[in-house]
Amino acid sequence: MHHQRPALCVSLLLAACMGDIDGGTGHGVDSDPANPLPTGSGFPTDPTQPPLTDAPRPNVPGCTGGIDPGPAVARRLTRFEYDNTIRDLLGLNLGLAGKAFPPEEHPFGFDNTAAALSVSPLLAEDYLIAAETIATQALANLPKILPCDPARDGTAACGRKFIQTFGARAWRRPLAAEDVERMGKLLDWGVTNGDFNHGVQLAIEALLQSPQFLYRLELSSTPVASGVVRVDSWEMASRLSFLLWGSLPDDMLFMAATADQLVTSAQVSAQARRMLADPRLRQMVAHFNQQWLTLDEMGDLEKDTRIFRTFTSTVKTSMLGQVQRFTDWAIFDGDGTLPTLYTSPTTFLNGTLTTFLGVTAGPTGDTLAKFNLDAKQGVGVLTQPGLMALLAKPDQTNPITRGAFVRERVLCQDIPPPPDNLMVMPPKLDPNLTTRQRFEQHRKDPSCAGCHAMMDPIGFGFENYDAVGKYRTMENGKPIDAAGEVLASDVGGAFNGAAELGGKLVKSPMVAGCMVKQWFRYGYGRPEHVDGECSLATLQDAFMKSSLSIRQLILNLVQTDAFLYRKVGS
Amino acid sequence: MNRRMFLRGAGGVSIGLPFLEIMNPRQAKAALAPKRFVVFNTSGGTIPNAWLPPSGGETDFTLGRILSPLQPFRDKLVLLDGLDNKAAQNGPGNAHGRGQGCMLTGTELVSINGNPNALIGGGISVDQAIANVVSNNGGRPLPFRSLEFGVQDGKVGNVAGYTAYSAAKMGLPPQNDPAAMFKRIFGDNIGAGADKLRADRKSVLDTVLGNYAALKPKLGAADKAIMDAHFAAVRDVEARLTLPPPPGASTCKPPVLGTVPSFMVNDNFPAVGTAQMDLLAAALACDLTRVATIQWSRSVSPTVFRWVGASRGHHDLSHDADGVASTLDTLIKINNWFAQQMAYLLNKLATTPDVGGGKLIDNTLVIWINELAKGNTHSRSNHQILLAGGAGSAIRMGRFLRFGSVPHNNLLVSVMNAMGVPGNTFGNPNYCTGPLAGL
Repeated sequence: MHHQRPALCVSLLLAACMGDIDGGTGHGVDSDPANPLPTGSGFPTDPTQPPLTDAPRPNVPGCTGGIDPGPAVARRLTRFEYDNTIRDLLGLNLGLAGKAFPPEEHPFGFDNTAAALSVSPLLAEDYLIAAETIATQALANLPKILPCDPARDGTAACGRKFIQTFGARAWRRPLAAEDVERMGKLLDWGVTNGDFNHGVQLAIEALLQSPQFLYRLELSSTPVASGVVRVDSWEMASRLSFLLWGSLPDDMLFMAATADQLVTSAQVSAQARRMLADPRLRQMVAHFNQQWLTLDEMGDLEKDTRIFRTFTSTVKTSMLGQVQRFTDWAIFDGDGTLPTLYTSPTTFLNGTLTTFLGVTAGPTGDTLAKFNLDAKQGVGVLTQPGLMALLAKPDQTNPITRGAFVRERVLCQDIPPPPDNLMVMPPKLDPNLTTRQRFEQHRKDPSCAGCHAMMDPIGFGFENYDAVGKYRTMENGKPIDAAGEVLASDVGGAFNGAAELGGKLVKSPMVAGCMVKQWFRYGYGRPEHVDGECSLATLQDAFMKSSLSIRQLILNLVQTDAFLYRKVGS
Repeated sequence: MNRRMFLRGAGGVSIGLPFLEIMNPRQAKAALAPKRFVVFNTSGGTIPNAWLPPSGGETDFTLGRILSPLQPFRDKLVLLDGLDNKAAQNGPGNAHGRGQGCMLTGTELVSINGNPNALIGGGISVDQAIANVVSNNGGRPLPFRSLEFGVQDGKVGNVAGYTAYSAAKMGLPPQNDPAAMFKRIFGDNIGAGADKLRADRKSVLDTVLGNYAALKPKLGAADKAIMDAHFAAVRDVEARLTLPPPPGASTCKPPVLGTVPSFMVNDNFPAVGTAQMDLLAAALACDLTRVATIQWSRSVSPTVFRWVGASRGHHDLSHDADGVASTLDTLIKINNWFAQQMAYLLNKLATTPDVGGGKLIDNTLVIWINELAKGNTHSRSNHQILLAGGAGSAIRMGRFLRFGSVPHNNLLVSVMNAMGVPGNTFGNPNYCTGPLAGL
């Protein structure tokens, strides 16, 4: 009896740990590990490729019924979107929201989960202060946004004309007559209590604090099926611009909306393809990656400088830039595929990092430059020294954090919190033991083993990267043992070192499916498990068929039921 | 007309006060000196042995190493030992999240959007329950229902970064920027141009509310729920602009905001804390609000307390086991440093005149609360909690009280009662047996 107890505990905990994972959302690609990956090297953003929904509805699980757009909640502008929108609306690159507004909640890893974007009294007041600052600055360049001359046309008429033209851009659709009149009265009041400019200032302040600016409202009501409406052209213009650019529509999108030419999936796809060339797309993707890879936490990164004497703030800043540059390169300058993201030997180094990391013949300049590491050493985004340093303790590596990161961010699995009232203490540094030896405790203690079997063996595979991301083959005089294992997944069991792991990750439908889920969450501002199974399945199916092109995946986001339609009356 | 000039001209308070005090001093004081409630929130647990009195009993206790900076206020303290946060021992979430999200709500965390790992406070926090009552001020609402100050709360909004909740899932983010806080509290209340600014803001916000009213009938239920809360907050701001000025505004001295260093830079933590405490005390003194929280860093604090000799982040340190002597010493120093900040705040309150005589501290109750009892065990039982201030004589101070497995929610009931809000239970009633007996 007695000797069986630990084993029983382990298996129960392992079951509990695994039972909590993945929430039973599996269908399509990630529930069918036997489904082999398609091969091929065709460049995926071929503009002649037909839009998804113009083709017959793909025969994928979850897509048997009618149009299935999933729920749509009015999406409040995030800080990223607010700042971009002000920049593109008024030419003012102030970054007020990023500096001053409270941070968003990230229930699914991203800042734009609509249901979690409530407004506190503090934020309501932040909107007030920001609108005043913006309006004051906008007045300095009033002719740029004023379509008339108040002296010639009269203040009341010119004021209303301004409200119509500027307001239509700020609210991203023409204003109703009653809204123009309400806003006009405010402007008149401002003129009476100051001058024309003051009236304009107050009107801008009100426009920027109204729900029509702060939320992406979707009120269209043209039914296409029971409980399903198609979003109208104005709404589609905003769906496209906020997804692909994190900002308001440009003139071309507004023109298309005016002509009601954002209706069919082909029209939507054509606009999206045009929009890919804009640098704002890269900024949006960088914003996605910043959150997906938890890079905001780099700001708080501290290393024990008694051990890592040369870890300076310049190193830290360079490391953040390194991960950002790599992801940007992998998605836009490389072939844009998931295998490149997870296996490329490329990194970015400047003189500081070359010296700090001890890279032979690395770049020496001040700016980060592309450099190919040995393929054993450089294995895609996960082994970028910046990310390895982030996923480590101040004085030693942390196989748990690294393993958990792969579980959560690469495999989209949730790790339950550690048991209650546990003495959670990292093992003490010991000059005679390796990190692996010191962390072995987790695998011996039955109360830990269940869940840590999910994390630690993955993390051990990264032991070649020390606590500051530097490649090593020895630790405390002992050779590094980078043998690892990925349980409870289709990644395929044991591996040795990051390079072997990378090779396995890119063959895993679960890993591919997770990338799609991450983009689904970001793209639609909601978790994938609530609804919209068909949209997720469609995206996953197309991702596999596109040779795992992330660029194509982003483009495909605008072709799903979730993007083209809206559910009503639920 | 300048609002403060108007105030001084009306002068109802200064005329009425002596007369009432002669008639019935105790009652007059109770009626005219409003009670205030302040939450002082730090994280990572404490070191119980260094927090607890090394000697003495209920009234003859001495202060230990952590609380020693509070010696000048010894008679205005109640040291509470042995409360169990039962809500934080139940429900979903990790230890830190449960500790932080349940300490003032007394109820379990709830999930956002059905994600079992995205959890948030599941009810109103006690400071907000108090604020809902006292901010009404008998039909003469205060400008701010409450104020939430932050000292380097982090970059992501989540359960680890909220002290206060206006309702389930409605965390109130703290303002980390003292300059922005200054502007918010005093910007349209005081100084040249304040009257004009208030008039402009009122016109703008009236129009914004008109825009929302026109939109509202077209919204679905989910959107309406989110936006109703948003524009209720806008309405509160709008209402504030035409409020009659609170009595305190005639006697208080708004602080002069000096140069505030970059407010999110680790080594500026002490300076930012001081600036925030100055503003907090001033807001109370001016009677612009009667409820405030100050949240130092957040649960899972990355702050490196270099100024007490730390070289690793607070959370990281707090994981070390009791046997690591150097860490233990650093953690005691960190908590001692917080006690110094508490002493600074109390001193500020003790030297600031209150409306109708006395000092602010006499009518204020401060609670120093931590999301965990001990950092390395992540325990939410056997908590050490400090009450401080005069509490308007509602609580007998200068005491050290030991409890054994008494529900933490009982303390929340007592705190609420002390601030004049009736009730026999708070939070999840399963974890509450009434007011804290013996307090």
